[in-house]
Amino acid sequence: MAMSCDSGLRTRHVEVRDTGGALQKPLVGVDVPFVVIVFASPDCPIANAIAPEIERLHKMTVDAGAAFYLVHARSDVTADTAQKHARKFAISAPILLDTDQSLAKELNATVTPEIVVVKTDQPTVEIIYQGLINNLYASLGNRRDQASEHYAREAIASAIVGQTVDPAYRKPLGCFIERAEP
Amino acid sequence: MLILGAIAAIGVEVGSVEWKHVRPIIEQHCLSCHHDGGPAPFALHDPESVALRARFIKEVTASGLMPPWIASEYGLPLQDERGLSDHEIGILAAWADNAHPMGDDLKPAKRPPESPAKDDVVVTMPETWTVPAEGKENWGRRDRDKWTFVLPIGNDDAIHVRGIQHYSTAPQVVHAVTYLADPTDASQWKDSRDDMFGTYMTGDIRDRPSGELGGTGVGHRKLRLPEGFHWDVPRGSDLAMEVHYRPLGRPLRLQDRIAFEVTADQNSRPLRTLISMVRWIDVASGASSTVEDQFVLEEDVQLVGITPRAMGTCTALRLTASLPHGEEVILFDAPDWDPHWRQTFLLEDVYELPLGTVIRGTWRIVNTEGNLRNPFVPIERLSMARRTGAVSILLHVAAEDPEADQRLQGWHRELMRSRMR
Repeated sequence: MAMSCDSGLRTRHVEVRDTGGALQKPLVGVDVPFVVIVFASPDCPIANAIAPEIERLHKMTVDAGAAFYLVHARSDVTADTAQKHARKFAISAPILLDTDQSLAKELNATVTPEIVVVKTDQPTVEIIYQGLINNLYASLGNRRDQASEHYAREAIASAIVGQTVDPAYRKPLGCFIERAEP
Repeated sequence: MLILGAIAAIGVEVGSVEWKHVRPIIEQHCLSCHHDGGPAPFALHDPESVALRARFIKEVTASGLMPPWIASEYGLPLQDERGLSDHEIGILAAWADNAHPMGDDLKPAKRPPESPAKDDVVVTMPETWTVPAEGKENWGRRDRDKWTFVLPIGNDDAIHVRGIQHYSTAPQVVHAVTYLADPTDASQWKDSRDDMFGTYMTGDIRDRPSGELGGTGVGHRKLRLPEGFHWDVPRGSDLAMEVHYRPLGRPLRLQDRIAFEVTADQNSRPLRTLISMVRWIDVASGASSTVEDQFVLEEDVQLVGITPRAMGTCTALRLTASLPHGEEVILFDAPDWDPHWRQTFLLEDVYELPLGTVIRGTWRIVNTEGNLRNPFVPIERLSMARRTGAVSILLHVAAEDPEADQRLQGWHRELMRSRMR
């Protein structure tokens, strides 16, 4: 299976600021077995439609003793914008502002919403799942009333019990993360 | 090649496409929705906002997803067409591919001015309703993410409505809305069957279809009939309003207002609704089927507008007319039907349909997983019936004079009764 999220060595020490201005290293899981990262965007309708599911995934992750981050990979999203967006959509997860897109580039994230589940209890960074959160959208513009397949929930459940995820990559669907440099 | 040729045709080299070439396309085709406070999730006024989404815009315009317009060019010319030409799609693609150069002209895109609405009679939802954050299954699993509201109009006299404008408190979630004027207590009765405000049932009243009074859609919240035509709202009516919505990921408060423009023209003629429909469809899981309906007009009428109604298992629909002298005319064609972009389509010019014309509706039903709009996952047998048609197309027509109008109504009542048998 061709994967954009090839597992193996990565720059674990990518630093991204949170909305309080503090530098975080999301790929270094301190005392957590895995880290869940969800790329979102304040005005992406596809990411926003999935906001309740993002919050459910956040709770599921935290309850399992792992770490969860919502990431905005856009230079124009300020801490204030991100916090307002989170309040509006009832998302309580910690937020990272990946303004230079270093984290998005490191993880090869391409759209919002896109989830990356990273195993962190070993010397190297291993992505155990990346991509689609669920099947709410059958394609761009074709949205179901409800999702019937919950890929991200299953991936996190697998991470909790230390199992692999198959497939480990599902092509995500959403709004492009426009690269800061062409 | 298409793109290169198209751009050459307007005298711009591919590498020279700048914001000044993109701006008029955005103004003409995008800003009716993508303005501040509009139904779209983001505004596209500033060149920077457009540049930020240049690749996304390229993709959704090239695929025909945006701007949403489900009617093909094979049908009769329609008002307010929103489709992009090939050369416009080419300009947007070239701009995105070349890292969206701005050039010197950075004027923001401006929404074209709209003619002011005449809000002669305004009705408001008597209570607020909360649009849920997420979709949920409704009764019967047939029509989901919709709700019907009853708004008392309280009109002491009949009113002749020429225009309808829908003002929404939640424009980003409200998609297709269809209206019906109900002078009976039937819609109130439907609403009173439980404690909830509004009902999950359709806005139809017996064999009268929701949409008799037209329907509005995303970016198309105003209907204005041609001069000399009106919709009848009998004395003491309620407005039954069937709202199809798309949850936004957070709950939103809905308390919409509907404004009627009333005509005082004594010679204005009422629009009546003829229905081309298939009352019952039954398609096995994984199967496809084309269903048809036809009837013969027993009166000369003028066709003013068309309101198609079908769910996501329908992938294409078409309305045709076989005129008495033998000519075949496609009245309306939606080859890639998407129920979320439906609305009433008013014709650019009123079209004459003489007595003896055969009206034929055709719907393609694709009950497979390959139909990405099929709301049922996993796929199941599709078996549904509705008095006003499991699939239907409403024709908004006017008769020549009051006597012909009476005959037209009597004939159509009989047609509907005959379909019940």
